[in-house]
Amino acid sequence: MATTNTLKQILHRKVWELCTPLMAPNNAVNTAAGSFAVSDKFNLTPRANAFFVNGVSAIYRYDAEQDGWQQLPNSGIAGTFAAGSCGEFRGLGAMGGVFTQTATAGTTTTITTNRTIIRRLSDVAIRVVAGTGVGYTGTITNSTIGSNSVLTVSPANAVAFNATTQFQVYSGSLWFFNAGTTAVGFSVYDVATNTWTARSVTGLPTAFGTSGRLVSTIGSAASFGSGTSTGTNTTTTLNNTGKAWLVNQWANYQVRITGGTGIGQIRMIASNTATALTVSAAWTVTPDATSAYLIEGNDDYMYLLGNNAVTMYRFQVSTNTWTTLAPTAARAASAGAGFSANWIDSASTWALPSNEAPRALTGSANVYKQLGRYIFSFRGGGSAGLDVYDIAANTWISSLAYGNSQEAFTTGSSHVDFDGKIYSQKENTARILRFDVDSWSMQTFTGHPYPQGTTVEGEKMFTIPYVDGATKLVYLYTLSHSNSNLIRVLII
Amino acid sequence: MEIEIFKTHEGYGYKVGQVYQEFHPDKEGFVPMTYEEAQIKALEVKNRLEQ
Repeated sequence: MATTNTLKQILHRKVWELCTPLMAPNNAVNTAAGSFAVSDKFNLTPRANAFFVNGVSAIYRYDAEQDGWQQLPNSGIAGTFAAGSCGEFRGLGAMGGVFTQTATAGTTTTITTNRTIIRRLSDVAIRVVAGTGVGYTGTITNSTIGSNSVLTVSPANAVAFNATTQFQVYSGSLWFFNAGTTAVGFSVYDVATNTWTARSVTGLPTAFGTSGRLVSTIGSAASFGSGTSTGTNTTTTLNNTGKAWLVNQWANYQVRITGGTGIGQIRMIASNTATALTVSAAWTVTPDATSAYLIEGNDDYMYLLGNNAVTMYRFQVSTNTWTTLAPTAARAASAGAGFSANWIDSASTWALPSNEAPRALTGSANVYKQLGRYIFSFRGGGSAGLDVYDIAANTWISSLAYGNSQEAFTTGSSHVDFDGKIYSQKENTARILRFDVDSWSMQTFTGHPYPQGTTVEGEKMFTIPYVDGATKLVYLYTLSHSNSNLIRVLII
Repeated sequence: MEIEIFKTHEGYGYKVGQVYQEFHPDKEGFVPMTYEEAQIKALEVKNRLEQ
């Protein structure tokens, strides 16, 4: 029987549920400054993953399907765990620290890896992004445990996969940036292989504290533009003469060929004109007038903000490199304690018209109603200020006025976004507010119903969707400050 | 805690506990490690893990 949510506001009040608490040794949970939670909010992996990082060796996975906890291996990460530590969950697995894997052999239904996989990967999505079988998408039905794991996939591919096959699996990875005073750390935990891999910190400051947020632009979250190329493409362009795009509105997004010639290829968009995308790396197979495409968030980028500073950094997964961004307009104020950073991928009134020319936001001519383009950031540090970072234009639009902006955020405030709304818990006050992108205002949402301990810096909230066919119910989870409680409420 | 140094197609990597490293973690991009670098880095990680 299909799940139906018949709850009505006012008639039904929000009811919090007590979940399994994380009873770590001595109940010393959520007392470490910088401790944070992240989750698979886009439901990209099986088993409803969430993670709680309470230190370099106190890292836990929460299985929302079972309402249970599991401790993960010691990260061995460089740096010192403190305020400023932060992380991000990615649906893509990161075996060996990278999203794209290369097969060593294969058949039409198997892909042999050079990885030591220790979790059974049944029900995990897989896609081939280059080499033999490019364009294939399917599901892993079985995987051998141990070295050189063999993935069995369904449906069968038309041709046998082989050592040229490059693929990505949605088995999940936890990216962990660690604060520090003389050195920082950045490592990724891969769920499939149960291993940590250190990533580069070259280009980052060696001292990072106060507050940190790591934000991704996740490709599989949503598509923001689509169509079929009208042809006459070069090795680095894709034309669609039916569009009326603003110049460079799609810069730093990715385009994925989903049908026809060149299927399966993913390229970052370097720039665009009204009718043509220019990609940053040449096509292996140049698309033609049969090529259907989607424009998505760029899987390859992550953004690091915080450190009570204006400066922000961008990590590129495929090259393992950090870039210090130089926005055209700098942010007007530092990202202080308890600041937010949320990539907005959904808002019902922000859908683009069919020619995909975005409209300006009323009252803010520099902000366009274009999803996937902005990182919204409440400043924190005792401010209610809202600034947004424009990913396409690499610039900040600061000090945006919004409705009902009474509440300021500081140390220990948490912020999580879902479907165009940013849920913010103000420190340990129990007040949970909701910024609604559509109405451009801060709303009251609910309250944390239990007394909390001393305020602790770091993200304490996460969301988990329950999906049943076309029905999607979303739960907001929160860990308590200086307390092991985990509670959740259905978002209505 | 065991340190395992292994050969990669370009250089050497290490595994200490559940920390696995194929490339030089402190340099920009995917720079292969020499055998000696892999040993040094593995010892650093081992020390961190045992703290």
